[in-house]
Amino acid sequence: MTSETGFDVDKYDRFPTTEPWPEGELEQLEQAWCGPRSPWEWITATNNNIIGVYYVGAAMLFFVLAGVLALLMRTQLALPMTGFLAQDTYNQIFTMHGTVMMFLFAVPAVEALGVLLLPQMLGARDLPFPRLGAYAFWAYLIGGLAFFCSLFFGLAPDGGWFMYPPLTSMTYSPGINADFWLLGIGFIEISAIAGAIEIIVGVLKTRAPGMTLDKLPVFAWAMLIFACMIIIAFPSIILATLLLELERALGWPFFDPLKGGDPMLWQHLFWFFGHPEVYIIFLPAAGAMSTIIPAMARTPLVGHPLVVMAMLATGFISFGVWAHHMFTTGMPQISINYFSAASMAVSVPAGVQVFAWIATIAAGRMRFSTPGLFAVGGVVIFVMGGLTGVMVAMVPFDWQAHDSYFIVAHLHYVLIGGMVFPLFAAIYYWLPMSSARPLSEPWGKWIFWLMFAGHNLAFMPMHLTGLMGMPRRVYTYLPGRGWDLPNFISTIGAFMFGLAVLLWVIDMIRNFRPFGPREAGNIHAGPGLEWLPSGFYSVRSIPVVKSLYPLWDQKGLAEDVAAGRYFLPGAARGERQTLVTSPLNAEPQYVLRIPRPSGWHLFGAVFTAGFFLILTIQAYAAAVVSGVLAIYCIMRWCWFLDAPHARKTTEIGAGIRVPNYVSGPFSHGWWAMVIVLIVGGMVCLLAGFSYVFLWSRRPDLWQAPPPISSLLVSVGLLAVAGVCALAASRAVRMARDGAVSAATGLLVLASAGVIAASIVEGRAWWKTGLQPDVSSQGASVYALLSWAGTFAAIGGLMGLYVVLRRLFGRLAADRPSTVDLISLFLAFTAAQSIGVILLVRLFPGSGI
Amino acid sequence: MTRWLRMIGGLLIWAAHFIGLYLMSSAADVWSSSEAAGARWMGLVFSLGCLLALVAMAVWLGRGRRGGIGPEAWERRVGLTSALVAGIGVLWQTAPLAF
Repeated sequence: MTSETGFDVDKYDRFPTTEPWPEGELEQLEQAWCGPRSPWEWITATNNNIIGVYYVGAAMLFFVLAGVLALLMRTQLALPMTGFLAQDTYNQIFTMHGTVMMFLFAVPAVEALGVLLLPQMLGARDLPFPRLGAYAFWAYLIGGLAFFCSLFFGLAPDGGWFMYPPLTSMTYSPGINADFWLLGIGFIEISAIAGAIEIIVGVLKTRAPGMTLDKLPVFAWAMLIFACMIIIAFPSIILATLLLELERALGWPFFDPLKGGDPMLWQHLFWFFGHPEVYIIFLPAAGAMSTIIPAMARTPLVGHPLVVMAMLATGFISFGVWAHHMFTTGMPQISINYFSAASMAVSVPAGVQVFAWIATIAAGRMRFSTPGLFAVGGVVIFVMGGLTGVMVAMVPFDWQAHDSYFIVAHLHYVLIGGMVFPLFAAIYYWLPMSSARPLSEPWGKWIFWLMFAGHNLAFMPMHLTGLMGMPRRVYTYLPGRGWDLPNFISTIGAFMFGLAVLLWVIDMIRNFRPFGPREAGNIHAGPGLEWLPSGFYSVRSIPVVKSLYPLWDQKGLAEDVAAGRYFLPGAARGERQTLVTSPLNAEPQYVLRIPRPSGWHLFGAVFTAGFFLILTIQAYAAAVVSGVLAIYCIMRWCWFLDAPHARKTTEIGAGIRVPNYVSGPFSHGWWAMVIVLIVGGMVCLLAGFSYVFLWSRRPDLWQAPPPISSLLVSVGLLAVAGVCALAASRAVRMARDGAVSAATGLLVLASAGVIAASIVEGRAWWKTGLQPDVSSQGASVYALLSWAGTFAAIGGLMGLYVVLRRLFGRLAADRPSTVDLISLFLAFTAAQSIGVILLVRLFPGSGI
Repeated sequence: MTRWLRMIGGLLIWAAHFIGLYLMSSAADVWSSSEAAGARWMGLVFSLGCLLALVAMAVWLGRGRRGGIGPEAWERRVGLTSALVAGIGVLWQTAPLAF
C-alpha cells in the first residue's frame, strides 16, 4: 500500500505498546472529558454521547407526534362520511403528518444515529465540530416544536407535504399556514446541512489509523454518502422555499403563468430534492442493516465491495429519478422515458443490497432476537415496496395509479421497510452500547410482531383501495364504492402499529431510568469499534485498525485499547483532543483540539430558529433582531477558534509525534468551508437552471439587459476582489513583518469589491426598468443577484470580523486558517457573482 | 483524487450521460421537438461516447488488477462493479432513443 501522506505505516507495528504510561493518565483523560454536572451543563453539552441521545430522542418524539396525527386521520377514514375531523383540520393534519415524518423525523433520525454512533465506530473521541452538531440539534428541536405547535392554533400548513403551487400561492392559500411550512423548514435545512458537514468531515478525517476505505464500517460509508447527498439535494429545497416565499411575500412571479412563471418549476426543484430524500433516508438505514445483519448472523457481510458500490450507485442514480413524480404533468415523452429508465435502473443497486443481506443471513447462523427480527422484517417490507416501485416506474401504470391510495401504500412500504424497521433494529441493537442497558427482549418481540402485522394490515389494503380508485388526501368518502372494508382494516392495522410504538415508548422510559445496573457490554458480540469499552471520551486509546471486523479479527484489542496501549491514551495539558487522519488511508496527520462547551452555539440556535419562526408571523423587526443576534452569537462562537497552542507537536504514542496545527487542505476547517461553498454553489446552479427554465416558458417576455459598460465594471471589480482574496492567503504566509496586516488589508479590499460589484449590478438592472414583481425575468434576475448579494454581505461581515481579529491580536502568521477560510469564501463569492452576472447578461442574448 | 476517480468514475460517466440526455432533449424541445430525428441521433452518438468512456474506464481499472490485495485492489473492485452498473444504466437509458 502506498502512503498517502508520507507517514511510515510500519510504525503501526509498535502497537499495542508495552511501556508503562505515566501515572494518572486515565484520570486526566476522564477529567478532560467529564460529563455535565449541572442542568446548564446538560443543556450546553456538546459531546456526541449526549447530543446523539438528545437527537435520537427528539427525532423519535416527532415520530410519535406524527404517528398520533396518522391515527387521527385513520380514525376519520375508518368509516365513510364520518365527521371526526373537519375538512380544514384534516388538510392540516395530513400535511403535518407528511412534513413532520419527512423533515422532523426521518432525516434527523438517521443524522442523529450518525452523531451518536460514528465517533465510537471510527475510533474518534468526538466528531470534529461538536458545537456545530449541538447547534444543529438545538435549532432543529426548538424550531421543530414551534413548527408543530402551529397545529394547535389552526395555523399549520395545509397544502400537502410537497406544497405545490398554485394551491400554495397567495390566491389559494392566503393565510400564513403555507408560510409556516416555507419558513418553518428553513432551520431544518440549516440543521441538516450542518449535520452533513459534521458527518462528511468526521468520516473522512477522524478515522482510527489503519482504517482504510476497505475497512471503513458499512454504516460509516452509508453516512458519508447520505451526507454528500444532503449537500447536493438540500440546496434544491432551499431554493424552492425561497422562491415560493418571495412570490408569496413580495409578489415575485416564479410560479405565476400570467407573468411568465410556471408551477412546473416548483415540481422540478421540489422533486430534485424530494426523490433523493427517499434514498437519503434509506441509505443510512441500509448501512445499519448491513452492520446489524452480519453481527446477528455471526458472519461477515456477503459481497462487501458490492454493497458499497450499490450504495454509491444508489446515491448517484437517485438524482436521475426526480421527474418520475411528474409523469402526468405533460412533460415531453422522451424525457419521461429517460426518467422511467433511471427509476427502473435504481432498483439494480437496491437489489444488490437486498441479495447481500439475504445471502449473509443464509451463510451465517442468524439470531432472531429483536434486532434480527426487525432487520429481517424490514427486508420483507422493503422488498414489497420496491416491487410496487418498479410498477409505478412504468409510465402507463403510473398514469393509472398516480395520486391514488396505491401510491400511499407504496411509499409507506418503502419508507417503513427501508427506514423505520431498520431504525428500530438499530435502536435495539445499539442501545446497550449507548445506555449500557438492553431493551426488554420479550417486549421487543411483541413490539415487532404488532408492528409487522399492524403495518401490513394498515397498508396492504391501500393497494386495493387505490386500484379501486380512491384518491389520496380525501378527508372522507361515500359508502358503497367498495372502499369501506379495506379502509376499516387499514384503521385497525394503524392502531396495532400505534400500540407497538406505545409499548416501545414505555420500554424506553424504563431503560433510561436513572437507577439500576448499567453493564450490558457487547451483548450481541458485535465486531465494530463501537463495542469497545468507552466513556464520554469514547475509546480509552485509539486503536490501529487491521480489519473490517476488528473485534472479531484482532484478538485482545478491547483489553489493549482499555489499557491505553494505542494512540492518544491521555489528554495532554488537560485538553480534549482527537486524532485527525488522512481521508483514504487514515494515516495520522495532526491532533485536533476539541472545544469545550459554551452557551454561544445554543444561543445561536435559539435565535436562528427564532428568526425563521418570527418571520412567519410577519413581525419583521423582531425577526431582524433575532437574525442579528444569531449572527452575533455565531461570530462569538467563532471568535475563540484558531487560538494559539502551547506546543507545536504532541506525542500520540510509541514515540510518534504529530503537529497540533495544520492549515489549508489538510485541515478539517478547510474541508468544512469547501462543503459550505458546494451548498452555496448548488443553490446558485439551480437558480441558474430556474432562470433558463423560465425563459424557455415565455421567451417573449424577456427584455434586453443593461448596457455592456456596467457589465465591465461589475466583472472587473469582482476579478480584483477574487485576486485580492487569493493573494491574502499567500500574504499571511510571507515570513516578514506586516504579513498579517497585508493579508487583513487584502481581505478587506476583497470584501469591499464584492459588495461594490453587487451594488453596481443591481443598480444597472434597476435602471433598465425591470421590476422583480412584473415578470418572471425580473423575478429570476433579482433572485440570482440577491443570492450573489447575500454572499457579498456575508463576505462584508467576514471582512469586519478579520479586522476585529487583527485589532485584538487574534491573527498570526503561524496560524493562517482564519485568513485561508475567509479568502476561500471571498474568492468563491467573486467567482459565483461573475457566473451569475454573465448568465443574466449574456443569456439568452447580450442585447448589444 | 485518482483513487476516488477510480471508485466513482463509472458513476460520474453515468451522471454525465443522464444530464447530457436530459439537456439535449430539453433544448431540442425548445427549438423544435425532442422527438425529432436529429435530436435522437445526437443522443445516440452521445450515448455511444459514454459507453466507450465506460469501456475505457473498465480497461484502466482492469489493468492493475492482477494479484492485488489491500485497499487499492478493493477500491478497484468497487470501481469495476460501479462501471458495470453505470453501463447498465447508460444502455437502459439509451433504449428510448432507439424506438
